[in-house]
Amino acid sequence: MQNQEKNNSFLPSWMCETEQYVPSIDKDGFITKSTQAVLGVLSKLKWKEGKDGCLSASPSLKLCYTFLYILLTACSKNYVFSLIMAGGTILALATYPAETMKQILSGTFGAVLFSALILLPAVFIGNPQILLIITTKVFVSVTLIGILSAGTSWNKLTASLRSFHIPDIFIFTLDITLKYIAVLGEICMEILTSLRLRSVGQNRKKAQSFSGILGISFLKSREMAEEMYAAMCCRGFVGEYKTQKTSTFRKQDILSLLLMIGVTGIFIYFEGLWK
Amino acid sequence: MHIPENYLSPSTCAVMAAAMVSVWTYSVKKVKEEIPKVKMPLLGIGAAFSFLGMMFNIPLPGGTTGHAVGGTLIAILTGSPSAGCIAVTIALLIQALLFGDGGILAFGANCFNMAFILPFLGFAIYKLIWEKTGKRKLAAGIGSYIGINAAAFCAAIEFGIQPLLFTDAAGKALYCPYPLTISIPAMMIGHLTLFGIAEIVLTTAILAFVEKISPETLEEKPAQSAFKPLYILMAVLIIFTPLGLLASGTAWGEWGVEEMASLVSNGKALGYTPAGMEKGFSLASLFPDYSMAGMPEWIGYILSAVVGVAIIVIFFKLLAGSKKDKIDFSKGQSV
Repeated sequence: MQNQEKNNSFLPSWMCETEQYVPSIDKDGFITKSTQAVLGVLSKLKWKEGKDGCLSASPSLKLCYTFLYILLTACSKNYVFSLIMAGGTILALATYPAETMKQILSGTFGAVLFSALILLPAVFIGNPQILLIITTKVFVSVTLIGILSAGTSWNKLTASLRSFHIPDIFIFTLDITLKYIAVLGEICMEILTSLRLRSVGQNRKKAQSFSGILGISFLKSREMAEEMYAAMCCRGFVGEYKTQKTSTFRKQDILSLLLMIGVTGIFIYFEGLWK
Repeated sequence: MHIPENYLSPSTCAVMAAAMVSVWTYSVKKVKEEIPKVKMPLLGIGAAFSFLGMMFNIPLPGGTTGHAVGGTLIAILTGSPSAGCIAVTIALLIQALLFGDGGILAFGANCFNMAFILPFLGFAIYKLIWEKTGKRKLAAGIGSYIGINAAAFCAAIEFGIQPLLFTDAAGKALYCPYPLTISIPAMMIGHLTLFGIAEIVLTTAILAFVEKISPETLEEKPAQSAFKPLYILMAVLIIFTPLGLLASGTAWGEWGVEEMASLVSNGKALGYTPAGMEKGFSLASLFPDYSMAGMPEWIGYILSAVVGVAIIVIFFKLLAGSKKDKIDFSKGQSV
């Protein structure tokens, strides 16, 4: 009897109506922008970590020549030299796989565009060539840094700072920072996600959670610092942090050294010619 | 406020980096003394926190957003501006090395503005107002606002002196082409309004939150970081050194033009060697004694600021060094 009643029953009319639910427009800028920024950092740190090529020089030498090239480019007053550097940089860039190249160039593009925009008024002040000169130099510098970070794994990069006699505590701190940006970043992402999930309909108070998100991540970071200290103690930490010295000269380095000498030679030649 | 590559001359960068080396040495030493080794990991994690803090876009009135530096906040939370200095330095280093944000050569200058002026001055003012009024959030807000604006002002001056100091034979700027009259308003308008407010919001909001949720975090700061007025004096002096340049602006500017003209007229015989760039670079950093004789006025200004900082830092280091035995002993006990 009951079964029969169920079979005969119809859906209530209100259930058959198509719903016209349009969620009220909600401002989402704070969550979206912050999420994007944090995710960008995380993706760069965790998933796109630089990889060494088989022919690349040792990290400390890489750091060295990147610095030298940037310095020479900054010092040069001859536009031809800047152009040669730009050419060389593009050449070096060309040896990287497309994915890496895209990553490097996205950074370069932003910097070049920014400096072109900033320097545009200078053209009207009566200094037109500065736009070209500085934009070229910015291109060279940022691309070189991009190549460095894309072509070197970061723990090696921080370890290579050792050969520049940077205090241990600094390297230790840098190391922890890189690791914990990823860890804390994930916590931030989780809080941001939960904030987004809970902001059903219209939530005008999203931005008020800002202090909460960063406050919680600060308290979390303190907690983690204590835990990390305990873990370090368990492994025999007594207050001194020593990084291992890794100064191995490899065969591949000779090429880079020759290149460094060559570029310096070109620099001297052009600056000398200019006189 | 991240100064990109090639906007400052290499010699300016070298001077700023030289100034920062002494600040870093001081900070590392100070942190080792002030912060017990229990908290050593906190430095790195604090740096990670400050790095992430810069990723957050603070909503501001008018529908815009800005991001803050948070140097004063780190200094307040850790109770030590030296810790703030190291944390921001490392955040800046990661930005420069891995993200191409701010130049490698300009790293010293960026650190001077954001990792030295900002946390030290901000914290000094915070400490001063807090002790006078007892209002922590008010003190933190004012401190961070003044800190970030002082940093922006320094950056504006670094930009603005470039076209005055570094020009080619034709009198065209070699680096940043905008003089002080353009660079100071351009930098300050943004920082006095948007970014300054962002910094206040970041600092006070997080401080209020931490105060509410776990007040004990703020209390356990090391007692010995009590600020001497000397610190404030130091910070103020550094800011006012370039102001001295400004105050005598017309005279100095005229002199600069005349000097330049005479340079060019001599230059026909001498060639363009005295462009002053490489010369300034080696003079300021390698041969300080040599550069003292017959140096241009501007080197004098900057150099005296640097030397002044160095002497104060050495003084403090010596002072700290004399106490070191005692502190080391107690550290040893706590193992």
